[in-house]
Amino acid sequence: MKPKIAIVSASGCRACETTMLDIHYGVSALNRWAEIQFWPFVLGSSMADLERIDHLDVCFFSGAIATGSDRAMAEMLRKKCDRLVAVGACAAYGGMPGLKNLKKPATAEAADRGDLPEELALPEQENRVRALDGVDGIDRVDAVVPGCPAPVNLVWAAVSALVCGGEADARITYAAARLPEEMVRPILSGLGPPPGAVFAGEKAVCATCSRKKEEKRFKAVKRPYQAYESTGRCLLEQGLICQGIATREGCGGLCTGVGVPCRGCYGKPPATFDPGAKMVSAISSTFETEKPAEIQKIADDFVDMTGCFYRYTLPAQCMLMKG
Amino acid sequence: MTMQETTTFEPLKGQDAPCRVRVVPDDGDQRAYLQTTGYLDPADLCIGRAVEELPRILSIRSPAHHLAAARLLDRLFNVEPPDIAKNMRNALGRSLVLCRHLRKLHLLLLDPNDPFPDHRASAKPAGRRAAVAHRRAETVMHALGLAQEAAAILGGRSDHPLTAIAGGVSRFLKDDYYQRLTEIADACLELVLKIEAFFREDLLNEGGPLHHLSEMEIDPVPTATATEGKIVVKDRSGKVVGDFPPEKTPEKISVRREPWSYLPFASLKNGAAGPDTGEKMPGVFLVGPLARMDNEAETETSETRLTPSDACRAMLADLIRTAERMTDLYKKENFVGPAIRTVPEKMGAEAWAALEGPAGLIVLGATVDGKGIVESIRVVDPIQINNGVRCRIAEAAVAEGLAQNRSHTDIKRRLENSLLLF
Repeated sequence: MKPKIAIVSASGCRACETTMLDIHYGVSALNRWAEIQFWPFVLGSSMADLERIDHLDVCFFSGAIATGSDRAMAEMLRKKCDRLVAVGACAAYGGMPGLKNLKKPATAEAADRGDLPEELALPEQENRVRALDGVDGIDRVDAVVPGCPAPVNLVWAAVSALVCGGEADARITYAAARLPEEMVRPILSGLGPPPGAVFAGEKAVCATCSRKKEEKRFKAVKRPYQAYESTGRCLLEQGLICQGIATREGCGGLCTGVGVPCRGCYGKPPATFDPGAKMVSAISSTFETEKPAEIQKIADDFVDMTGCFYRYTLPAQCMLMKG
Repeated sequence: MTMQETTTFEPLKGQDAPCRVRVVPDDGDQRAYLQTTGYLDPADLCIGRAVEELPRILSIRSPAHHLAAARLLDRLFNVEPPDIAKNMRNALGRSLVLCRHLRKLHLLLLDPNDPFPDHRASAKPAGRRAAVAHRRAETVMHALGLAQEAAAILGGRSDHPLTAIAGGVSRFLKDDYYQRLTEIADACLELVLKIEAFFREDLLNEGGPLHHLSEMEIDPVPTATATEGKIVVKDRSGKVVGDFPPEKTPEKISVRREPWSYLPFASLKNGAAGPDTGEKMPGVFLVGPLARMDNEAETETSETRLTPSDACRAMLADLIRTAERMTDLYKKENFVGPAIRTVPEKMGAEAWAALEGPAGLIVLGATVDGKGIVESIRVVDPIQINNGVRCRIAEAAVAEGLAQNRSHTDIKRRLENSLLLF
């Protein structure tokens, strides 16, 4: 019997969700492997449909939890699914919508809606944007596919490991996805991915970035609109804030490869506790100068460190309480 | 037929959830409300960020917002990108038009009950029709795959592009890409012509499965486009009735929130498009492929009514026009030159920019402090602008469905298909 799957997006841009459509036409026919039972965006499935479903094998959940509807959907899917997979930075870490948490929760707008008839009531906006596992009723996610958006090769690696049982040209898939050996071996042996598996690499982006690292000395902060070399030299060494050192690999250095600094959409690598702290530590330890005034000058040139270092991970990294 | 109680159509295929149409009894009549949660307010994401990050941050709203934000940076830093950078941005914009329209057409074609009908079922008579639709969907997805590849080459990624930066683009193209882009442009044109033909001949015509799109109609509304950096407003007959620079947007376009929907509504203020017509939702206007239609009428549309079918035909015409331009633009000579960016020397305090994106007009305005931190941002885009028209289309689809005694499922399907096209 084919596994029963759900594909769901909460508050997000839908890029991760539509990857499934791209996979079906570009990579492998999904109907050969799975029976899609619930997919609001494509099938128009409703919450009532979900309530009628007894059991689902796998749910691919993308988007952040930003409304009461998102939360209710996530909680119900956790109860009905054997395996809940967070797809994309929004579901895994809160993503870019999580930047909203830097603002005070707005109450004025809610007050404006006071006299609305009950039948036109809208779903409540949550006070804080959360990652999927930041919701009270969700004790765990079973796998994570990071990225903004999650790329086709990694989503397909997750689909073939969790849905196809490793049958779908598995060796080629995992080679293409550049997954660590420790993760691929149990999948190929039929055991499936380990609990909490992250479908990405284990090292930092710098390990796969094609740029040349020459001299680890940080002289001055440069902003991307200012002049910098268009050579293949490491962007951080040139003074641009690039988060490759504090970000999990798996993208192959996609952004740095086109001359744009990494902003951390794959989350932190396993060896890093806090990506922001790691960035501050890594940069400050390589300051060329030792003079306090010059150090102060460099430090003053950093702008919006929170919005930069936690661009995609603020809800997961900086919100300790569930709720 | 009337509905005695509140009826809800939810969720709607192809719409951002939670999105629903609620039909509420109103003095023996019904009123349909399109209620959308909408995405986050752009101000939530952008205020407090370094201004040069706007192209990346806003790209989650739509890939074209990336290009609009880069244009905003050009204005803020008062720089003119080199020709090669302009061509690369323009070429990326073309591929995004294809990506957006083809995704919409694909969703329109998907089987309402099973997105991926099994090929093996095609042997059975009941499955034959689904298999035919599936092959059409494959043609659309083939073209979409090629457009995505072009967008990834030009923008670094197709969904959230990266390469447009202040004063130009972030890198030269690799040698391998020149030939590939030419191949993509030629293949896209061939596929798009095929797609247009089967939509026009088999799907939209009388008796075709999408003929219902011509049955629900609303009064036509004024249109707006971004043309040569200005916002051009035309009346219902296609006559230009006003134009203004992007920085005049707050004087000409207002954005308001209705209590029953999170998604804001943009409307033309009095004087932006002639006298107020005293409608239920005054100032409603339209952007996108229909607004871009040449007055010479590339497809048959009417001055007295507007239907989702018109929107679909305009989208198909837009696809062909874009694919034809791609074959001219995707040539090596347009992407080689001495420089890819003009490095800014000074930063202004406020800037506005307008861009004609795949879904229509995007206007961005931002103010920054002395360190280049965003203090305020204004975004007027198709999501807000077409919201008024979408509400009217929802009302028309429900009214037409009820008048014809259609089932709940049938009305829902018509709502989904028609809303997809705006």
